[in-house]
Amino acid sequence: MASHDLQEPLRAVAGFCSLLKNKYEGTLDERGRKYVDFAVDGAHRMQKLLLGLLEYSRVNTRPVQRLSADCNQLLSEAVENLRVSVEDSGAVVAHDPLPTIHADPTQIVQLLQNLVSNAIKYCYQDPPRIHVAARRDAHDWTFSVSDNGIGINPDHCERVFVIFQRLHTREAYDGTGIGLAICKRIVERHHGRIWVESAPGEGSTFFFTIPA
Amino acid sequence: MSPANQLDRPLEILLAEDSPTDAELTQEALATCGIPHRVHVVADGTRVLDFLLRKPPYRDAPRPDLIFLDLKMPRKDGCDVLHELNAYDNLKTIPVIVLTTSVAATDVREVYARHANTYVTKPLDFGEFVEAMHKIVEYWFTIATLPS
Repeated sequence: MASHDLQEPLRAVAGFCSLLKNKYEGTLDERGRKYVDFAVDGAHRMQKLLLGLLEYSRVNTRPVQRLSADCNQLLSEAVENLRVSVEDSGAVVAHDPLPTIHADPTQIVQLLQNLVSNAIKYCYQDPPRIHVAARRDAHDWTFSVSDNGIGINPDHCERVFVIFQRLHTREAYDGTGIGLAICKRIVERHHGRIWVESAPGEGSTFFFTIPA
Repeated sequence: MSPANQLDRPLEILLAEDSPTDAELTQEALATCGIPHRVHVVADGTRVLDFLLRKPPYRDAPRPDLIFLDLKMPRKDGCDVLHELNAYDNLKTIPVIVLTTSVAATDVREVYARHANTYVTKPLDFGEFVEAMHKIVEYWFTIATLPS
């Protein structure tokens, strides 16, 4: 699937709708302008879905590298990639000393980035506080990413990892329903597990294991 | 505008783009840049070379001041064009802006390795795209000095 081929028609829809709005604003009535806005918005959302799906398919198809990866460094990379939303939300991302694991560094950055980004997105009025930790047992490292956000009803804790499953309306929290599905694929490709423990209003803690 | 680029003619822009809708959108974006210009559109890499070498049907083609080059084109893609341009001393001095939907790091590296001047990923949002095109034109025609 070539991203280019899929994006070209979308660019046409979004671009010409915008032109229609800019150039013929006087001719369109309020309802007409609203329809054009809906069309542009639809094209933009399709674009996000498309990029998400391409990312998901890349995680599925690209060979998993096994390199020595310092998770302290990978977490800072993930947080750096989220700098704008960290700054906008006033989020504080703290962590315990994290281990060095054998894993695909690009994928682990993406995994941590998606989890931290979700923690920022599903926050309360207070600035998000996120804590990342890891503990070792006989076979695995278990990582945890906890937040002080809105939490998840335990009944829905499995559903959140299924692609396109969303617990909220677009108006409440914008999103594509792909981020956690990508996390699940990344962890599975590293022969680990991912789950979440949470209650509404109590924050959430996402756990994942990576074989030690 | 700096005196170096105060031309007594419109700027000549060559746009290599296989999608007619993208070509139209790019021309629309350029139309409001405030600098007199002419856009010549060719739909594949072979025609880029034909245009620059003034092969038929481009016998009367002007020498472009700037080339906007799409990467994914039929027959000869953008990277091939860059490679071939480097063989012509008189053509390789024309600035080339790669204008693409690709965000792949390998494409970015490849393009700069072949001496393109700029790599731009087209924003989907038309407003952002127009702004990007205006900034590019402003940079190349009012800040940078071009070879005469």
